[in-house]
Amino acid sequence: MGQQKVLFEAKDMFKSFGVTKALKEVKLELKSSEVLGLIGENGSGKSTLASIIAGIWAADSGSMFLEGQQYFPKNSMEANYSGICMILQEKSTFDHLSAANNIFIGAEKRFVKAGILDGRRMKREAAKVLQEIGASHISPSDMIGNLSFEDGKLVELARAVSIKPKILIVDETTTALSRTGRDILYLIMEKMKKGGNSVIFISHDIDEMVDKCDRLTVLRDGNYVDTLEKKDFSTQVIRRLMVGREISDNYYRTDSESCKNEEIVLQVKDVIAGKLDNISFSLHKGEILGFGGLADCGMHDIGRIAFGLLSTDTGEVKDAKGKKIEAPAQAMSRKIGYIAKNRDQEALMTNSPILDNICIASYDKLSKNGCILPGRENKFVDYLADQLEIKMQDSKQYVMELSGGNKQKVALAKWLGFGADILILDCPTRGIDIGIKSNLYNLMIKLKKEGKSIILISEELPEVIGMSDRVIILKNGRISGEFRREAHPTESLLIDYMV
Amino acid sequence: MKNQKENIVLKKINFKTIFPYLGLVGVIVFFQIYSGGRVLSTANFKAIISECFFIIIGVTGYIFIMAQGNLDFSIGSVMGLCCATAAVGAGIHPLLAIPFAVVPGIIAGYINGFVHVKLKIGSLIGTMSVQYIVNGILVLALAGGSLTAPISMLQWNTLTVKFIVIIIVLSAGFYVFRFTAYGKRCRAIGSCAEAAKQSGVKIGKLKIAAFMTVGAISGLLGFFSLIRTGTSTVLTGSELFMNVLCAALLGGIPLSGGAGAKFSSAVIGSLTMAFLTNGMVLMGLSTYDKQLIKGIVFLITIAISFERKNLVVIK
Repeated sequence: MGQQKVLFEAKDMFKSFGVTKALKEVKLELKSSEVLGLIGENGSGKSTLASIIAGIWAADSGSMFLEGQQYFPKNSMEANYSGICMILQEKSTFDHLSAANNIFIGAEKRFVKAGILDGRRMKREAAKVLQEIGASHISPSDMIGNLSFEDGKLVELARAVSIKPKILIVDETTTALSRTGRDILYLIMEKMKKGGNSVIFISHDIDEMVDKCDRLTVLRDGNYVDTLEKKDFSTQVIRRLMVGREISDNYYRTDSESCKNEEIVLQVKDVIAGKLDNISFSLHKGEILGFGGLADCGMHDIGRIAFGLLSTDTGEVKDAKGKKIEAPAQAMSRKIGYIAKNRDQEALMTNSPILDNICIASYDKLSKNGCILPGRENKFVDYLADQLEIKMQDSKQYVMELSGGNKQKVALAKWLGFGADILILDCPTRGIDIGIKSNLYNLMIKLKKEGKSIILISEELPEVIGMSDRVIILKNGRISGEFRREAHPTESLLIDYMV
Repeated sequence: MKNQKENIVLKKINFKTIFPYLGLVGVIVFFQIYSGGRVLSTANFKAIISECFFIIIGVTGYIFIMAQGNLDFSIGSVMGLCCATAAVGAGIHPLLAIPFAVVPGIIAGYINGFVHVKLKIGSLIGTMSVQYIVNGILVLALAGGSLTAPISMLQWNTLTVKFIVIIIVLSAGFYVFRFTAYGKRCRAIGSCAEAAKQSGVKIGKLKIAAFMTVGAISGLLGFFSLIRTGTSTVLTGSELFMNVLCAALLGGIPLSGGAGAKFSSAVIGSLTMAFLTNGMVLMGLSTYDKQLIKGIVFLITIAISFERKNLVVIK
């Protein structure tokens, strides 16, 4: 492989966000006709590096070369013109425009004649591109807002392909895609390689990286660690390079007994709401009930209905005594706590001190004759921060300055302090490093032993399988399968129920 | 490395917190020099208290609305209307003037809250509409004339009364804002309404409560306006909104609300505003000159203190 010429090179890249140094002297070398994997834990700087290459951010210092020429994009449009295009994890299409408009956004000039946009020709071209990538089920005139998340991603892919990039950057896109969507993406990556172009591929899934990449560049805490050739790939080595120390393979529960307690603490009956279509299940005391499925299957709405955030069209959510739950404050009076998937927007006030974030659910408990004394708050927070080992300067520090894992600990401290008997955790380990992840799993096991019940909603199947007493798989808003822990469901078995 | 990090954080906080104090000192020093030492004199003390009175009480109520990230445009017109109803009440019995002022204020506050929460109209547009409606009612009710209070009531307008009222309102406001669940939840709403909701805060109720608090305060100010001037006219309260908002911003209360809203800002801002107005009076500026200068100060304050990074449009 040594004779391949270098297509792109980045040297001595530095980038800071405020006081956080995201990149420290990072380098990257991309050869032509290869898929280069960029791997590292959250906060390792891989997305930052990719975004700088794609012109979304500018580096503080460092130099980049595209085909030997100095490359210095001012914005993502300029990067596009140079032949570099990036697909993001988040949705980056325009809801109120058609698929065709989205595909050719910024390139409308091609279809303009005498100042008038030839919409029909644009649609024809769009259909051709969609056909080419194997997504002909999407019509060019479909509004993006009416498409599923996955189809929206495919439109983004079509847009990228239509630019005919020399370098395609794929950032954590596969987690949002079903198997069909992934196959389309893999096919595009293959085609890029065959055409002498290259792909920078970012994914959390180590197995996927090992399978799809020709070389892997590992980053850790904003530092360049190493680049591995395909022949040197091994999961164990990659993981060690990512974390910087040996990580045991198993940090999930070790027992294989499911919870046998018959006492029901929460019951959901015949619920139709949001994406959910006729869902019934019950949660038992001391049980970890896992929900899995594709991103679009409606599992996130499970948490929202159980906490009374999303009102049901039909059916009901009841507590142990059969009383209905219809609002968050009501759910809390039954000792239910909820941490949303969008932690920073919904579960935490990132613009407030840690103290306020932890105390907010417990003001009734903390006040004496209507007065909340600072001393009581401080004691309350210090105890919880100590228990959960939250890394902070002091409790007056703003939450936005914390790392993802510590933010999640703050959210958990809020509910532990509140004294929740039922915890609903939606993607609790999303964006969290392996170290803190295992902390969280241990905490869940401890809570389970104390007789608390947990609803665990997660997009990561190994986590759902590894932690739950019972796993419920959703597909298109319906329950498609239910497995007890003793049955040892495997990932591939569950995927069959998901798609 | 750690020290450096702390330094950067400290620097950021310092300027933000110091700015309002610098403003206050700057205003005092400026006018002290240009008025030939008259600003800080015992004779002027009474004038400062009088000037400060309406603003400081107004801001004390207003901070709850601002903490939530909302605004209320209608406080001036509500004060005007409450001054008129207070005059009507005073006609029956002087003591009735107080409930006759405060109750309509609370009702107006409830209407503001209802429009914002139940009809889901942004507080900017909602309270602006209410402002015009209330003003319209006042103009119709006064029918081009004015209402007067019994002369005996003017004797309540003493420095001692004002001083005591300021102390009571300030301590009550400080206590509620800092040490009760209500005050803390108001700030939580401004910080992140969704997170507050998902932590059990009843947002709608608290928003209405804050509008009613401000309404009650506006009503109280209507009463004090009556005993100060003895009359209720269509112009009563017309300067209140601008003065209160200006004072709040000068004191450093962020428009976006949240944890950055500090009670001390209410006091500092009100004093700055009072010294500013008073100083301009001492310099013999006309009403229009004063408005011109206030407008410029307002703009400079916002330009310096506004958080452009997390720019939040007032809802």
